[in-house]
Amino acid sequence: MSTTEADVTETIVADSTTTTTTVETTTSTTSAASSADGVTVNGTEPERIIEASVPRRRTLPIGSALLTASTLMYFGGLFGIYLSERSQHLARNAGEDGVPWFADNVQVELGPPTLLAWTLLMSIPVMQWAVYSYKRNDRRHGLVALLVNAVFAAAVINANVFQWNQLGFVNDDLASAAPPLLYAITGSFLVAMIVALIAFAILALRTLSGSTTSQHTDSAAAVAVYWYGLVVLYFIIWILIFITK
Amino acid sequence: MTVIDTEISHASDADHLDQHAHYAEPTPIGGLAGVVGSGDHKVIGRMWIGASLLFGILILVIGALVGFERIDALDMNLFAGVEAFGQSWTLYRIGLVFMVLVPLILGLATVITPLQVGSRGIAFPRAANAAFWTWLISAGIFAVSHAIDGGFVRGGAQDPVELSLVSLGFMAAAIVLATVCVVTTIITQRTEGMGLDRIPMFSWSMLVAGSIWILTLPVLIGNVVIIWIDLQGEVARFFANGFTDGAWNQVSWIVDQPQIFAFALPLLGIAADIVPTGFRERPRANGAVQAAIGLFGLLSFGAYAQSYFNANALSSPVYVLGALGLALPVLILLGSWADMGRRSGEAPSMGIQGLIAIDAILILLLGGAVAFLRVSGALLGFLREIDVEPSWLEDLEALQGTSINGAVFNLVCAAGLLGALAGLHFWAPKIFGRKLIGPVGLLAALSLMGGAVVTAIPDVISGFLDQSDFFPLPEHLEGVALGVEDGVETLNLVSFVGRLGLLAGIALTALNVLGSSLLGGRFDEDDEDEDLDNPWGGHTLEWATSSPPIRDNFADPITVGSERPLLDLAEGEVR
Repeated sequence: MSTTEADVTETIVADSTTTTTTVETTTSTTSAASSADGVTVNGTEPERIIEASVPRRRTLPIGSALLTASTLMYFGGLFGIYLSERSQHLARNAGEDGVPWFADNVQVELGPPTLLAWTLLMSIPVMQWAVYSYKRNDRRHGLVALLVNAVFAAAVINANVFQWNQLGFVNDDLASAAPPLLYAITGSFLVAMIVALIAFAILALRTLSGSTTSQHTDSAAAVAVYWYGLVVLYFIIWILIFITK
Repeated sequence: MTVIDTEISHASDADHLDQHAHYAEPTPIGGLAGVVGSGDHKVIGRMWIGASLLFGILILVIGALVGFERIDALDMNLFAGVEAFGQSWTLYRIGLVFMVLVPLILGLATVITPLQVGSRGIAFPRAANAAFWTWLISAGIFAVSHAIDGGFVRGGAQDPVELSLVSLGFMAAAIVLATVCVVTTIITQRTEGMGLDRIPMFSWSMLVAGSIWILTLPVLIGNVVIIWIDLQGEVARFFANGFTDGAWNQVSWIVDQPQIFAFALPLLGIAADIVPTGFRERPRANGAVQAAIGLFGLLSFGAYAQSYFNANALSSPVYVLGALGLALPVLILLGSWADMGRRSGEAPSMGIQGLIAIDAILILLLGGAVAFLRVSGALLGFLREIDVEPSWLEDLEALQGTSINGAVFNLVCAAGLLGALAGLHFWAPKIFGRKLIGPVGLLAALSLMGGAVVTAIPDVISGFLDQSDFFPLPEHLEGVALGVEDGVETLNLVSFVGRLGLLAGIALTALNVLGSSLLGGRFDEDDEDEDLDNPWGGHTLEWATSSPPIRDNFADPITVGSERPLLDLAEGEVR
């Protein structure tokens, strides 16, 4: 078998019992994936073998942090406009005859959003559990944690849509600028939640299709950064729109 | 089989680099598929540069037409009506930033920053590619939507206006995505020994500017989303009133000061890389220059300056003093160069790119001065609080909203374009594998510089004569006289000539890039022995590889010991 530099595939074997990493070099004319099959070093199973990739200093979490910061600024702009419009509206309608920010027939209930806020709070340790499991190469627990968080996300989306139906106002309500702003903020949050769900699905599928779990630790951390950003955002929405009204 | 035990905590990046130097590479895909789906940052960067220059010709033709119409706006000789004029006006303002300036700089950054930090490629290459194509399609739709009665002015049809909004939102999102790729590359892909204090100035300026773009463009997207949602109702009342005057006022902050300076910021980094190369000196105050660029970025953050929602935003101390403070970082940069010149003791050999870079800095300074003049009327408010009321400031108080706004816009955009032109000339061997044609570049720079000055100065003067920024206001629609003083028509004629200069500058640059790409070899015949790998004696890491760079940029992992590793080598220093 002729061997060239391009044929060299390297695998890093994480040894959880010691503080060392074993770098194993194998030669193969076949694909990188197949080269990992059946390799056993110091009793380590194939699942625990990490294929080396281009050297990166936590590229995925950093990229995710930048996108999360971008998302936070997007909502920050919406919150600023919401507060500005609301304060101007209330100043213009200070008297008894003034038009309220939310029309009288609009039902802005605090119950469902509070439930959502606490649901999202609960999701933080679950998300961290997923990252911890990925780091420990524990596929089963990692996937269970992702699934639980996906259920949380689906519940948030469901409750959001339910709340829209309960609100009882339409975008043509001319009493105040609240309808388009509320739809913009909650609708954007819904889209952000759907993006998170897609990220969960991609991470889970890549985990299931890959030979190892811990190689996706950075991906899990990246998804977690985005998720934590969403939790913070919902708490702001909860306080800004539903508690303050 | 070889087994090596390595301590996790002591595993150096160099080890990893060494491992991956031998990692199997997929076979590159050739042909059109190789270009369209490329993850090679050099290919993606060239696509950004080429597309932005072509859009530049389109946008500056529109700018020239708008300038011509301004000579006698009431007659509307060229445009079908004030609505069509206004649509072209907004297309020029948004297009020059989002279809020309920012993509051109992003193209440079996509090619150059991975080379400068010693990376094998750009972070998230597929996302970088997707960002380019999303931007290209959105920019095309944005231009077309204006041609079919879209845009942001009163009188547009609803569907095309929505198309303009959606395409603007996607353009901004694509730019954010591309910027995330560049910034992540700078943060995470630096080679061994290159701390943040040692990254080349262009990469540093992209880190600062990119951070500002990442934090401010989403705010614009938020503005667009609110207007779009308001349009979905039977009556769009609050944010898209009659679809429009309000719509433009909500998004115009992105092309107004101070935010407009954030888009030109990378020119400081480009100049700070080019000029020391000409002096063949190491700047003593590298940290101060980095801090200056950071300060410039901080002062150019403009998401708060939305006068539509906050009427006092444009007279706040932060806004006014920020406009004054913008000059300070540029002066620090000039001071650093003066120090180098003093120590060098001989005339620098900067070439055309050095001259263009200095031109760009001077135009930026002029833009900063006009920007401060524009907002200085707000000083009157502060002075009144301490019972001082200089009468000469009263004229300045009325400048906001006049054609001086356009002067700031054109000067800062021209400075950014000049900076990008300097960068194109400097890094052409890395981008295109050959130099650009020098005399054509010089002519383009003179056209851009002259065009900017000749466009802006008459606009400043006509601002004092109460000429509005020429966004169609209700009184225009009703045919009411503009209320400006005599002489404005002549000033507008001069300003139009300046716009032709800007158009000529971009057209020459596009021709230069195209000509050098197709015919460059013929122009290099006299310089066959010239070292194209580092023709200018560059100090930073991009000059350590071949021109054009090999597939993975560098043959071997590199460790650097200072911010100017090639100068270290030239000086024989071991740092």
